[in-house]
Amino acid sequence: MIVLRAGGLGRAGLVATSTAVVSALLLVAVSMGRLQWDTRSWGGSLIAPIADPGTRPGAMLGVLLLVVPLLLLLDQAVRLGSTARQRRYAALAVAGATRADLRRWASLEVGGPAAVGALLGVPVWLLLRYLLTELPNAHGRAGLVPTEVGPGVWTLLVVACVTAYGVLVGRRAGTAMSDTLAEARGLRPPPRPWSALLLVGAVVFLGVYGAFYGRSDIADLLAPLLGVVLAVAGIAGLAPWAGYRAARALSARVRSGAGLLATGRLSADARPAGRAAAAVGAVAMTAGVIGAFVPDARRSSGSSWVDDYGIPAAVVAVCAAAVVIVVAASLAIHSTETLLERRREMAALVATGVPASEVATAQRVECLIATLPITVAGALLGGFGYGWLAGLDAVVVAGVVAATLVTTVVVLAAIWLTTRLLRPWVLDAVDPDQLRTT
Amino acid sequence: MTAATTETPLLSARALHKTYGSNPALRGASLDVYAGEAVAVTGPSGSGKSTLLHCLAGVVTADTGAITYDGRRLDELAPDERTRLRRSQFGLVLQFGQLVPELTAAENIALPLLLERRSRASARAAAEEWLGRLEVGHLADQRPPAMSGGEAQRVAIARALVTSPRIVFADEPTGALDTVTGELALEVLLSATRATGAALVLVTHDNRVAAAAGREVALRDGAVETADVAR
Repeated sequence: MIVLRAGGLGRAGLVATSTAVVSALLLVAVSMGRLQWDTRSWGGSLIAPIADPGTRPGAMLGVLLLVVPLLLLLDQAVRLGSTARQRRYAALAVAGATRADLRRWASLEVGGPAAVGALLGVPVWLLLRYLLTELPNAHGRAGLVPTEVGPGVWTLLVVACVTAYGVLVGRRAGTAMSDTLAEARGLRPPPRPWSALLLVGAVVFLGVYGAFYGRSDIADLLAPLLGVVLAVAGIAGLAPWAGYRAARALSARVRSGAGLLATGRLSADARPAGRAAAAVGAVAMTAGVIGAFVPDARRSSGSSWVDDYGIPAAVVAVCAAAVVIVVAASLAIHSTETLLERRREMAALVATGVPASEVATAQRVECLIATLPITVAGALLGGFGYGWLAGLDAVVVAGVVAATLVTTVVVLAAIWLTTRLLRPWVLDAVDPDQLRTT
Repeated sequence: MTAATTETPLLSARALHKTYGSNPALRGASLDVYAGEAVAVTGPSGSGKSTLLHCLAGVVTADTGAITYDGRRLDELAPDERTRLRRSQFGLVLQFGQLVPELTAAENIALPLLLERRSRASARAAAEEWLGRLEVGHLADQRPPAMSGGEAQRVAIARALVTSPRIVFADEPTGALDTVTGELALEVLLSATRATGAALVLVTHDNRVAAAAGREVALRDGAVETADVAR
């Protein structure tokens, strides 16, 4: 309790909230997986993409993708107030705490609230079930969460996994705290594009599997899912490298102070921003798939496409937009947090005559450089990947292009909005008054 | 480098008062700085040395009193104008260098020039020239965390001088360095300002550093105790 109180109850609350929602979404995905796979079951109670065994894996993947930004939010929640925590850990180290002690305390600081959140996920899942299925069913509409089948004993595994993730995040934060900032910033090698191998693997796997298509129903369901998982992991893993390469390419050409600051920060360490950009890339990929899926569903389902697939696709699109806003916020918060860590250096910069607004603009430029390349690549890859499987025509191509444009605009707007909201903190952090204690 | 009392001061501060919360930092401090001179501001901890320097450099504004630079009142300038003035006319060196850790040495130095609309190539060339003059040309593509304290301080001096300022303000520039490195950094700062003709206002509590300046002004409790001790 002492450790939790020292860590800040606000942060503990944020960790518990995000893990509760993660746990609930995982329980939803598990209950989808426990529906009957041989027939289109639960006629009327669930929307078509979940009721239909052919599209159910995609719906499950969509739910799992929603978990990604929440895990990122958990990561950010752990970072919040890291300057104060660093001072506290430094004081503990002076008092005789070893690196192992610090790691253990950090694990407890995050693992405890994560365990509470994981357990709270069960009532949140029940709430989702009521709001998203029982209530719509009572009004004659299809729902999103299975009610006839629950997650059963898998609940224990979900709670254990979410708690373990919280402990790992805390442990990692503790390890980072015990390293000096200078070492962490100065000596990290640049990210490498090894994740491209996952993308190549996805293409090769799907190409090879195509030759064997139709021999097993369950394999026909799982193989595309595995291909999608590989592709999503590939695009997500490439995000830090893409951000780094974009920053390096731009750093040789920038003519503004904001551009130089932004590309400098990403060139020095693109990983934290890249991790958030990875989630944006995954969402963009989903948006691209929707862009291709909607015209395809319209082509193949005739007049019933709106009820069967159009409305669910719109729901997913709205969720994707919400996720982008959450991720953009987490990216901007991270950027502000690192700025606060270096408030003395940045205040000195402003004291030497760099306008404070230039530093705030640099923050926005940094977020854009990290996210835009992966957004466009993700949306195009998702859209044309689906189109390649379902059959490309002019309408599908137009759908993919439109989805790419809309996603890019949503990402731009989300970054503009979140950096705008955080601007007062940035301006306060770089105020030359920060130099007073020098 | 002694004060030429008959000429008009380049920078003049009169009766400055500055309070942080309920703690008075400056209580009527006054100071003149003449073109090309080096003046050391000395005093014990808490005497208001750094606050005076920050007021003179236009980094913070005094509660009352007036600072005139080249005929213009600093406190009457808009914040943007004061920022431009700090960038183009003043140079600032702080105790720990305070370079941006993610930028290379050359980028740290080039940044103010880019803000002055200089081309990237020209800004880079000027940065490399200054690094060469301060004998740290090999650090151009290094980031500050990979530099020693003395090296980082030389880069900070280059950043302060690259815009050809008329006054350089240095707040304990040797305070974080060992004796030998500190003496080298001080020599670099003095010779570089001498070579460019810039005035130097140096805050220090180290008597040896103060002795290297042409004039010393001692502060105590936010007011000038001993002024204009010409050497």
